[in-house]
Amino acid sequence: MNNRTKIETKNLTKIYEREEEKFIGVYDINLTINEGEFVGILGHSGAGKTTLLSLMGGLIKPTKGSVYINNVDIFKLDDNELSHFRNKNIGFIFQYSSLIPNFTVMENILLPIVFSKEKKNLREYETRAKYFLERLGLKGYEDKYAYELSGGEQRRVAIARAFINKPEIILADEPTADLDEDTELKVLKFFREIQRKENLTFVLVTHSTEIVDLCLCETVYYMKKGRIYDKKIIA
Amino acid sequence: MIKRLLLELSIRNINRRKLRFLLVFIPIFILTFIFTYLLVISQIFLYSLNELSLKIGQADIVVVPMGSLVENEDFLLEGNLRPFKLNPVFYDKIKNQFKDEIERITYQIYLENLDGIALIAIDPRTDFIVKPLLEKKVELGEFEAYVGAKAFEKLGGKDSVEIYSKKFRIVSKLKETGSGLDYAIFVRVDDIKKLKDIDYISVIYIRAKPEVDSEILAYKIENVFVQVDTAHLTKMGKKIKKSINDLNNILKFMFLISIILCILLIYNIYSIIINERRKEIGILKGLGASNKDVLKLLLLEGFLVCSPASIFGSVVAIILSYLTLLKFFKLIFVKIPVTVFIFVPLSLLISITITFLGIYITFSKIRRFDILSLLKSI
Ligand SMILES: Nc1ncnc2c1ncn2[C@@H]1O[C@H](COP(=O)(O)OP(=O)(O)OP(=O)(O)O)[C@@H](O)[C@H]1O
Ligand SMILES: [Mg+2]
Repeated sequence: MNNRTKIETKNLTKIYEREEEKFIGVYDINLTINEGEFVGILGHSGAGKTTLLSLMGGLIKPTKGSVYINNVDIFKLDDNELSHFRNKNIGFIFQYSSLIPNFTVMENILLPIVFSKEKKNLREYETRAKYFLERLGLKGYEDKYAYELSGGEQRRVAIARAFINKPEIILADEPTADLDEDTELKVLKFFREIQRKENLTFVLVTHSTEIVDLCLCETVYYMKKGRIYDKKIIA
Repeated sequence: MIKRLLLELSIRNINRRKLRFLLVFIPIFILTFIFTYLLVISQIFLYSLNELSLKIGQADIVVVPMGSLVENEDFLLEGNLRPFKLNPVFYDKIKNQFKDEIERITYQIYLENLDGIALIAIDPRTDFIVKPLLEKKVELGEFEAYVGAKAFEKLGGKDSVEIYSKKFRIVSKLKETGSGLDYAIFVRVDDIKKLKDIDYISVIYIRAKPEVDSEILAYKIENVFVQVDTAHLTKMGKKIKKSINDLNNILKFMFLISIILCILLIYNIYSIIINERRKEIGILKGLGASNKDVLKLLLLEGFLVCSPASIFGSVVAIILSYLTLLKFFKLIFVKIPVTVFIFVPLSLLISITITFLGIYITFSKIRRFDILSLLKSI
């Protein structure tokens, strides 16, 4: 572990249990992600990508092993601490639709600010949100309600929300899954740009090699049946 | 700023789930309504009754012609006067036969109802019922009248009143008693006899000597003179109180059942509302809301719905309970003691407790799920 290590997993294992049956989510994952690194995680459906990302963000608890972020074992934190930690450090782009339908686009984006423990100047974040919307091709959408948006538009709002609180880490689960090629390109360009500008540690989960290439990922992990079977360092 | 967002969040949620929250609003409204209504009714009853028994407490026994007790009660409690007749000889007979036990004795003649005002003749020489209630202590002279507080209002504050084509000057008003006396006008028996042939009396009021057991005296009078009925005034009060108590017990039972039903209902509705919102809770937690934050949000929403429902429920209950007693039972002695308004904050407290408990218990079950499965739920 060097001083640039941002995320580290040790023997990370998640077994889903239902009645007598056991399903492997992820199995014995050991990886280290550095600060400012753009990482891609590639794998087929059911490979365990969402499980791994959820473990990294503390959305689920591992069966075995641990996750260190900024050298903190996140599963040793209590609910309050972990929530605060997640709010402050992690921007999550969920694979599943995740907007609150009856809130406007702006309100949805500002949600992480509501639960922030630090005092925040809302104006500043509104400006930031507007900038993101513009970059993501949703200029003027602030006051639209989430339920009025198309699937792809909702997805982009969720993307803007992940960045709003200036987190150090972005965990993106198939962020461009329901976007057309042009829009996808736009989003990926935005990712790369903001990742560089704000020195984000970026973990992007996808099943498409193309996206990994387009993002100019520095490191790519290949997953299958809950395990990482290959690692490719590009830059 | 950010606290405001949280508040807005809950208001928006309530708006979004109008129907759901209406489902909470209604049982809370019913709950506080029943709670307040029943308590207020019994409270008003007891309070008014105490006032009443204080006011006619000057007499111990009332004597009426046989079978007229209920009618007399009607007058005393509701102001509804029906002239009933007793042979005047009983007045002297009772007076003479029990002179050792009677401290004071007087009679009244119920004449008639004049547009809701009861016309009563009294004998000022012996009267001890009306006199102590006078606002101005003046003797009743020829063709003069005393008026009860409500009758005075009805007359519009006139200083005289025409009875049997003769003008009677009003010389004093009675203090409000909360009994039928408030709706009466009192004139001298002697004056009435000049205008009309009257050969009867209606009621005899007796105050027993302090050392005499008035209940036994009433019993004795009734035994000696079978043509009369007697009522023991304190006992009458007790009797009413007892029937109110019986009523109260039935009410208490209904009260308990409805409260339990409402609690179950409120709890179930909250459990539905919160379970429906698993996904939303998952989103909020995924964005860094702690269990405490989510609980706070849910409680805030619960509070915003339950407090207007509860306040509304108890205020409506107070108004309606008063109207029931006044209009439906026509009980003129009803007064609202200010203390009933304590039920507004009290029922608020109770409904908030139930709401919060319901939310807390339901949320405790949900918080066990991990965020990913909350997010995956529909
Ligand atoms: N709650 C659960 N109970 C049982 N098994 C589960 C559960 N969640 C996931 N799994 C299983 O764990 C494995 C990994 O699932 P995961 O969601 O991580 O896959 P993924 O790589 O994200 O797939 P996709 O690309 O389709 O999103 C799958 O085989 C899945 O069936
Ligand atoms: Mg997945």
